[in-house]
Amino acid sequence: MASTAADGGTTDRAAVLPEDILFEIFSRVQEDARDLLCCAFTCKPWLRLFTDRSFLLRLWPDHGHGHRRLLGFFFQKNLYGNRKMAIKKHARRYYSVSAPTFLPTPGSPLGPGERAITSFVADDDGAFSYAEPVASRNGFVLMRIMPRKYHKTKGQVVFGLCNPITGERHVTPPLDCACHGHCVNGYAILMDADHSPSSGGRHSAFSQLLLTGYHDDDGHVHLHVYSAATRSWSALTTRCHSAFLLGADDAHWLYYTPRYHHRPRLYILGFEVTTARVSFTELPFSFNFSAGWSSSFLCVSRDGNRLSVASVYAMQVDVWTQQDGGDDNQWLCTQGIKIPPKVRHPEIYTYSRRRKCSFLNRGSLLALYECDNIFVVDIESNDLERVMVCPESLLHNAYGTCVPLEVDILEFFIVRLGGLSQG
Amino acid sequence: MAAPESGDGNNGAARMVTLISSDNTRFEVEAAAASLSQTLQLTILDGGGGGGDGIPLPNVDSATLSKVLEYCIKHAPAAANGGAPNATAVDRAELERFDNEFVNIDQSVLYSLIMAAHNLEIEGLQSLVAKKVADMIKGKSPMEIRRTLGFPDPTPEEQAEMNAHMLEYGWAYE
Repeated sequence: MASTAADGGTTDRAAVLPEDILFEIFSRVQEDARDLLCCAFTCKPWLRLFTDRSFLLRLWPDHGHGHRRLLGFFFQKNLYGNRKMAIKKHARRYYSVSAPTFLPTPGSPLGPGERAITSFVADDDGAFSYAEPVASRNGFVLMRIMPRKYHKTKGQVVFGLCNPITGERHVTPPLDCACHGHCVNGYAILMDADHSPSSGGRHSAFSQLLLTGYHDDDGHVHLHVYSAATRSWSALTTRCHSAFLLGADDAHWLYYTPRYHHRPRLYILGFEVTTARVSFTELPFSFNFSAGWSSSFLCVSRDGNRLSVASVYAMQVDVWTQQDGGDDNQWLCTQGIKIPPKVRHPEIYTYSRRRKCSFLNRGSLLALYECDNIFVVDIESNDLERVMVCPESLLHNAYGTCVPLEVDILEFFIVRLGGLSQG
Repeated sequence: MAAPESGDGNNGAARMVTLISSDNTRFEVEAAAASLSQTLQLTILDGGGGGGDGIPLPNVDSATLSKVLEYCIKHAPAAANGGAPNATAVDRAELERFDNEFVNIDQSVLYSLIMAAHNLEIEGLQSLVAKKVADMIKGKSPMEIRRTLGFPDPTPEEQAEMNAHMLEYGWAYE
């Protein structure tokens, strides 16, 4: 500070205030993690503070657990419907367009209030105002960017990625592929850390985008890999055919093939990040269509070492977990999570479409939205928690995409900033 | 500030205590006002600070202490009522207005005040100044925060490092 010559201008008093005082200050900024991220970049002592787990735990005592990991939902209010028609109508200004909407959970570190995604990231070219969220991982939201002119769209898909906490954004060049349109159905967003898990403290940036899509012409599932470093797409073909995608996590996708009079077959399509090899493995278990099954999801345990498959039935969630040991394909039904009667609503049996399940990536959470509430099932701790009343805007959006944003905010600060503070 | 130095000694009904700043200025205030400080409260309860003794505060200079006492005197009556269930809305609005006005000060005074409130453990003042600094931070870029809080300009190395971070996060530096 200018008024105190003794400081010599090298240290700043605000930066070296006692931790208790800084805590008092930052706990009043805490409701928006983006403000805290700015503070972390202000000076070295503050950067160190924001990578200190015990300090972060004081700021967000109950974050990183259960439903607190769920920061909110991204969804598109304007349904695009038949894409050709929609694009033509956009072009003729029949439809109004709007950027995807963010709906925070109560107490979300992204602040309260429903907002457009463009309030988190710069969008000078307006790309995100024609976008539809399709997936999310590690704080990133993946969007399919709708073209504005129909004639340009043939066989091309453009994707946009953004991180609402940091404001990072990335728009891919068009993917020219026969599996465009509704056939692109599996997504994975990979970080630097996925390539070298041992790098631990290094901050993690977006590195690859993976898409799986079914080709009508050869009946195969194709895997497209986009590299952020080279800004280019490459393709890999797998031998699996005519399977339905159920869900994905990291670089794994869960597929099933229905069989008449038999239980369906479940498969995992895996992409080995370090070797870029693709595998397709049939699982030694399946799910029971006739027992009120609504969907199955694939997830990776929080330590990142094991895969689980959660099958959601009307009354319970069954979880199968991959076992340690030599054989990767050994699975055990580890738990059945009962959905208590108060969660269920009589209508869900008759109007199952009113019940939507959504798989939340990584942290092994499953969000269920029923008639008027949103619940979270924590697959690792077996807990079922009610998060919030399902807002009208989401409820009436039953046919559009809705992408839950799941971030462990503590881990996020430590991992993303950790490498910087050591520099 | 002259207000606390009423010079009436202990003639009034209220008990008075003397506080001595780091630069040896003596401030005489009502015990009730000084007792807002958790640190001073025990000493005062033990009967200290009265008469010619005074309580030395080696960490607080006279300019800051007079500011702190201004706050204490204003807030003492409300605090004495124990959260003031009988305080009127007018009183509360008046205190709020006073608080807003009170922290509308230069950064250097604000920092001295933060430290003094912390050392003297005056809860209300601590949260008042913390809120003020928090409001100064909200919605600003790292560089704007530095300017607002009066940090010295970054060295070229610091600047380069910040630029690199900002670039990585797709932020404009300014």
